[in-house]
Amino acid sequence: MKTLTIEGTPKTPMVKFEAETGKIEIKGRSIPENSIEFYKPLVEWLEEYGAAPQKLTDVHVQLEYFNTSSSKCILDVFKKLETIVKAGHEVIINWYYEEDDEDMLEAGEDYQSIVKVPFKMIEVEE
Amino acid sequence: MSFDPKIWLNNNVSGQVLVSYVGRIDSDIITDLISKIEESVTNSDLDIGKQLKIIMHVSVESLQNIYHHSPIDVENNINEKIALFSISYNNNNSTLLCGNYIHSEKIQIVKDRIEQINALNKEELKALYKLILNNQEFSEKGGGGLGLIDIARKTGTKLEFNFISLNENLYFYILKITIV
Repeated sequence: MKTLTIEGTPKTPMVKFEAETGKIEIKGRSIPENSIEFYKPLVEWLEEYGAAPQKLTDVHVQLEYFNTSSSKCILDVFKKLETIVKAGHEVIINWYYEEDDEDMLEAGEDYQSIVKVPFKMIEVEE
Repeated sequence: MSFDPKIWLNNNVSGQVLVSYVGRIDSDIITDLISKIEESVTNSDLDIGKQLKIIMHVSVESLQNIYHHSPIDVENNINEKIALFSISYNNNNSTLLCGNYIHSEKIQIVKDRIEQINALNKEELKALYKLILNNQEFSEKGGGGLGLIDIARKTGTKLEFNFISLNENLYFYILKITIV
């Protein structure tokens, strides 16, 4: 399965999904007007990956900002990961937030309370 | 129709203006405005560094709300999506003024939504946000009404609004957001 790589832009995050290692990264800003269009290939990739995932899928989400239109799409990504967990595989979502950015921590906690996937909250320096 | 959003903004903005824009809105203009906002807040000599993230977040949501809902109405000579937007700073508070044309039949929906949000406390807003996030299908247009809830959550202040009547069917909707 091919690695999914998308360069970051001022409005969309850098994406790197590696099937061979199970490492999944989303980094940057996610504030596009049409989030559904941007996230569609990510969700599709995870659907295919979910059929034969690695023993551990290591997810790193490091967002500076995201808009509400992205928030639903990010949940769709997490729900795909939840399906992988339900099938008996290990997934961990590492949710990064800058120190003092309580809103980003809270956003991670909101997701944590919705999807049944283990989260690790990681504080990073600004 | 004698209403001019530029004149309205000049008459109603107070304090030190960091960003001010009245005109056509599209995806590229939003991108430009966002980088302008970041630049002017970061470079200002005002003590608003700690408000930067909230300002950025709220600006994105407000501008995209305008972009998704600003109507085109050829009969009233509105041939493109128009936005009014400003950020000003006064007495340690930042104020965002956001505006767009609106047809009369939409007013009650917007009013009810804002009044519903203003009646909720922090915990209730969080619960409503999560409920909509997890249960509601989103339209191609936007976030299923999450934008205003998110603005209220992030700022912790009440939303203020005004509908200026231009003729029987057409109004100008102003949303005032305060960041303390």
